[in-house]
Amino acid sequence: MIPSREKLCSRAVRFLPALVLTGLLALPSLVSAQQTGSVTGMVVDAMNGEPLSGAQISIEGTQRGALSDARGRFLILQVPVGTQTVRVTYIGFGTQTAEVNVTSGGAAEANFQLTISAVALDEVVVTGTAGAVEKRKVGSSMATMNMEQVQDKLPIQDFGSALQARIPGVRSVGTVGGVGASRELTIRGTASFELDQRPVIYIDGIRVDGSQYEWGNVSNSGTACCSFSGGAGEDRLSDLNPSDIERVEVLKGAAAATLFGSEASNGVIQIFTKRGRSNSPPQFTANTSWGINRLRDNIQTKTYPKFRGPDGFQAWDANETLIENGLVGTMDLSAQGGGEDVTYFVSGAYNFEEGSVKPNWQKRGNLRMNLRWVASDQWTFAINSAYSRNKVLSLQSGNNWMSLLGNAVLGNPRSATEEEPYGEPWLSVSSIKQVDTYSDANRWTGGITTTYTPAPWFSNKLTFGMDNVDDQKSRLLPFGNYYTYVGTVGERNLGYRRARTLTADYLGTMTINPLFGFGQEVAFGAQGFWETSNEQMATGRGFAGPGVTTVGGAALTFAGEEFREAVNIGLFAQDRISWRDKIFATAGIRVDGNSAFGENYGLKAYPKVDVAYQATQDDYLPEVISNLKIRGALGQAGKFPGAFDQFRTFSPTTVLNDVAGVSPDNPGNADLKPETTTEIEGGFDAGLFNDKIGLSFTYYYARTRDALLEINLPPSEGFSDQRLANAGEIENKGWELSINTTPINTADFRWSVDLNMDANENKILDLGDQANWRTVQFKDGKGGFRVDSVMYLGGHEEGYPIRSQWTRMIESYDATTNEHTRTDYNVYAGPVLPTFTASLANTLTYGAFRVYALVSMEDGAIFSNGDRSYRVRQGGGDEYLSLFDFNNLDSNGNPSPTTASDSLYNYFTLYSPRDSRDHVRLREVSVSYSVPMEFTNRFGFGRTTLTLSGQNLYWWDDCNCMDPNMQYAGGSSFNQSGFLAMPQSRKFLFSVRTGFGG
Amino acid sequence: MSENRRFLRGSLLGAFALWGLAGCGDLLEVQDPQRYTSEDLDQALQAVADGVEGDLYSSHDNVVMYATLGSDEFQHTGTWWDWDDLDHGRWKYDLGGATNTGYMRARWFARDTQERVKNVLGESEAMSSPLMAQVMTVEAWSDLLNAEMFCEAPAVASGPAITDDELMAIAREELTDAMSVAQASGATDYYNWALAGRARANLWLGDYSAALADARAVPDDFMHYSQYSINGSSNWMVTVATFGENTAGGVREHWWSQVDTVAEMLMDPYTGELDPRVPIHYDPGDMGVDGLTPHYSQWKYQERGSDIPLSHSGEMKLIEAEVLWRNGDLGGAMTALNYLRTRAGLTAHATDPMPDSELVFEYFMHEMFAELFVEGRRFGYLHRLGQVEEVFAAIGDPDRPLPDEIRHLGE
Repeated sequence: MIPSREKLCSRAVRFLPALVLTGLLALPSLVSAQQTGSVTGMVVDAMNGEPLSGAQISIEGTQRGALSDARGRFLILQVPVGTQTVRVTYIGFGTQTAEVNVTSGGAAEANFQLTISAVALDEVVVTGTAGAVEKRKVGSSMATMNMEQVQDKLPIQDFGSALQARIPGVRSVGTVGGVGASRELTIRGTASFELDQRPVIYIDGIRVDGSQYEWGNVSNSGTACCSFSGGAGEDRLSDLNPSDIERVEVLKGAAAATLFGSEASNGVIQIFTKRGRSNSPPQFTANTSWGINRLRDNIQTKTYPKFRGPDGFQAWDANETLIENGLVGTMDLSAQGGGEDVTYFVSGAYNFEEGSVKPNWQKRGNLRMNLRWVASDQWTFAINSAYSRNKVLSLQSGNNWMSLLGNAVLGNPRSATEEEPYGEPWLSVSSIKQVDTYSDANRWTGGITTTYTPAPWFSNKLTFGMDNVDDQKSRLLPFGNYYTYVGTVGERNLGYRRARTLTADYLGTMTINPLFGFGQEVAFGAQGFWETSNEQMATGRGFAGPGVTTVGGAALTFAGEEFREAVNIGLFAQDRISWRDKIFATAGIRVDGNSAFGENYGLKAYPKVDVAYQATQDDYLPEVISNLKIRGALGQAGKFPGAFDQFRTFSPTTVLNDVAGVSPDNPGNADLKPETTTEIEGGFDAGLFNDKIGLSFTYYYARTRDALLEINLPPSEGFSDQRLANAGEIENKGWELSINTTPINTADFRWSVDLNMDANENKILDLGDQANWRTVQFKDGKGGFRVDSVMYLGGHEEGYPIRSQWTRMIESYDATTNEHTRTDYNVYAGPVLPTFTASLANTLTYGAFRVYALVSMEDGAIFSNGDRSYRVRQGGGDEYLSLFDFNNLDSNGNPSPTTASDSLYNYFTLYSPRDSRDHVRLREVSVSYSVPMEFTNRFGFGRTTLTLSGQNLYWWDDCNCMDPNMQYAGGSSFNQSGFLAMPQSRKFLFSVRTGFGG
Repeated sequence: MSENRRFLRGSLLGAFALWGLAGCGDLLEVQDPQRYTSEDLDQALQAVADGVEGDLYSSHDNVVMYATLGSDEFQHTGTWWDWDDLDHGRWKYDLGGATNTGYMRARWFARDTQERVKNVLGESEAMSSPLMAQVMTVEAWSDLLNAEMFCEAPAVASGPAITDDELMAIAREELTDAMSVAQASGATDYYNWALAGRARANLWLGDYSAALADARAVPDDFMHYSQYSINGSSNWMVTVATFGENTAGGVREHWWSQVDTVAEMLMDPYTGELDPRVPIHYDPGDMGVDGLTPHYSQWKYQERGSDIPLSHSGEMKLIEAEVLWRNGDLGGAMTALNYLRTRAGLTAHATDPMPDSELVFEYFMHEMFAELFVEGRRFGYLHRLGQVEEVFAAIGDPDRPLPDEIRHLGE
């Protein structure tokens, strides 16, 4: 008899301890006695002899390996006797191998001088490939980033910053301003109307919370709180300590991320943290950075001091009075080392950062311990454990009455008073500065990975992990100050969010020896995650007086709670066939079940296939091409609906005079299925002139079917919520190009160049049968507008990009009346995401000095520049006030309006501007000096680098705004509006990196 | 251990893990603990019925806000462009989303609940249940309010649209049915509420004698509120247009000079006496959200839990006055109007000599303004009485669209 699923499940759980026990009991029998020796050596840069730290050295065909230390040294013990192949890989350098003869108890030596290589096809990757594999064997494009090399050029405090302008197709930009606030992180455009745009994030194989939304309104009626700081929220990616990260692998699309199934259509980012070093005494690395954040002084209030309020009070310029130096301080210390079998990496870090507009700061502490135990040739165990505490005093920003900069910028200086010196439109800046808004997140991420290799051709890897985020938020509007909705009686808000993700992942791989030139690698496994999120809120409003600041001390109290839960279980299999180590063809499939799929929907299968052709050795290649891989991939990935979207539900609500009632809530859809993106991509990776120039190009075409859309139900059907349905279709296509080269590479001088470019075109192909024709207008190219119509549904226009910008534009001006007229209908303005981005990094190294600069650009995006029109309509802003007649003062001493200023006022009463986000940005600059080793050694230190750096230094734009990347809500939202947002600060740092010990 | 045995054992372990994983299909079943399923509601009929009534009220506050902004009571003092359009009579379809659609949703829920009550209690018990009286009255009032405010709406779920007159006729039948069940169940409150509604329906349909009879049958102390919770946010009049909250809308500038800002009341235009029916708050310096316009706040509803009168005896007196005026009984009309004035503490209008018909109507219009101040009815009544152009011409905005254009909102 087949047991029921419940019994089966409970049996499996009961058997789990037995399984573990069986494995442990098997251990001793698996440790076999063998005659061994050791391999030692050094890895250096061939051109200048500089030691290379962190190079991966492995003994082929065994589990033995090591990382080079800060002096480039390595030692591998218990290497089986005989001739062994030692392999060294290091990102940015060519892979080398050497054969050594290992004798019993002897020490074989293998030294390596690596040369810079712009092509990294031998680099081993693991994400989405069902096991470790060299890049040259993979038919899909995958980006990798060595964090050590990034940090070497300039210190990075935030992981999101490390991703910006470095990887083609990956867009990571700060949005709302203020330290600790969210970023926009997307890969290859937008593939969903309704769901989160962020790629899924893994750390060492464990799925983690990478969210950045402003949680808050958790009660049904929305009264239990608010948006704490204006809609952006904190970014959970900023919990990470960038110094803990060894490398990052990025899967950009469905073709590469198929094996991640129903969560991967936005791409996958996997972070690998640092590991210990075998046979190495503790080696310490210390980093410290100190400096300031300072906003660029381009706030539109420079004319304000020329105006006076009704009482004669001279208005203030926010550039002079709000921009301050925000202190930045970072310290981190790590130790790497280990014995033959057990290695460790431990680290601790503290980061303090103040915003340039205060109050706003972030304090973050991180602890990490990574252990790895090679129990035998068959068994290894890795344990990762990381704790962080990330406390942010959030800046009041975004679409928010209390937006600090917004109140200073959108006011009217002619109404300035001593209490409201900027002529604040809603709340005085001094009152806002007294609001304390905290987020205090405690986070633990950890897991255990067991690798069992019963035979060289067969391995099993099992990973269990958990990510737990406890975020407590609080906000106090103190008694006595006036706040919108609250008055002067004060309010206290408390929030608690626990987000927990459990990951279980099994991977089996089998390698079959080549026969007649054909090799085969078979992989299979299962992957599951269980994520829950529980948010609780409490609000107390109305204190009797100052002194009491607790929720319970208020006259009115409200509470709310929100819970979400999603479970995904997937099975996958993959077969990679190779021919003469030149052609690699991979076919795979992933089958998912997910708790968010509708009741009527079953499992979802995602197939993939990719082909890679390594043409290096072919004679027909012209001499200029030293290395060439041609690749192509076709695959699917999905995105599951919201946790409870499928259910038809009624919500509890307080009705009448505080009576419990219910109300129709979600109409539900039992047929809900995941959004499915099918992507085809092709390209090549080439090395030119003996791999001095690396060239990588990818073209992709992705079509997302069954995209979720909110369908309006007829009101007479009762439900006010829209019905989610798989009705839409979206297209993303584009290309990515990266060129890296070292044009000059001598012992004393090196010049490296990295150029990245990408283009993306997003289009809505279908809005389903609920879409209706809507009359719109287009620019006719002759200065006028033509009337047309488009299919429209819920804020989307078929044939145009998702959330493209439309507005009624000014079509004429009558000089006699000094008034404008606007179009009758919305006019297409453009897409919300850039259609082209590029970045150019140059690194010049001369002896001990290094100069680095990164310039980036974005082109094609349009945003709603609400601040611009708003401040004019309020009677403020330099754009408007600078048109006044400063020689013609009114009775209050204020300059007088002119025909031009009146015209502009009229213009913006009719036009909600859509401006361009196009810009070029000097994003990063650094100057480094490596202190001579003979000097540092005297004090017991190793390689020591002093760095002066600046980030986000300057930008050239045409946006009529403070920063074209401004956005008031979090990066995952579709609120592509600069309204009330704040630009990112410039950052200036002095840093010291040094190593000691070992 | 031989390699084969290791392989075998590894394979078995892997297969077992997969088998166990595949067996845990129930892991994919989750529940939403913060929402009810339809089955849950059978166990909570009273909460469902209260929810039905609450649904009507939560729709009504939207209408009250828009109707107030669209009449001569309020003006836009905020930054929302849509509201500015409303203020100046530029009504458009998009704004219908939060107005008559809410009434239709409340009606669906009321009808769905009627079926639920019948299923749970049985047909005969249901038809003598206060629960049934409650939800049937709500159903009828949803159609009544919809017909009063909007040109057309479907009579059944996803059905074709019918005219306001046709919908009002249906509402009148539904009100009569609700009265029958309320009487059978002893639900006096709902009986009176349905009766007052039928008076309004009859007035709309031009059946003036029936309207007068119904209005006179309503008890003198009758008052039915659209109710709101202090713990809710649905009383939009408070949350977006009241001092201490958002101040996106305020009393129209036309009335400012007649406000006694110390007593916080409008002065009666005929006697200069303070009219407690029109409370208005203003402190010098109070500004709307736009930061430019002085904000005179309605002060009838001061907190989120403030209830909005939906129907009351004062309104019945207005119906009586209107019908009598239409019948040429000016004395009777003046008696009804003076009843309202003296009840409010104001001096009665002189009836000797008896004012002419035009003056009586003028008195009626002002008493209607005061008695129904910010109750969301003036916009619809101005239309019904053909007074939109005249009233807005009087306050300096003669170019507003014609009433019929306005009332196509929500089609």
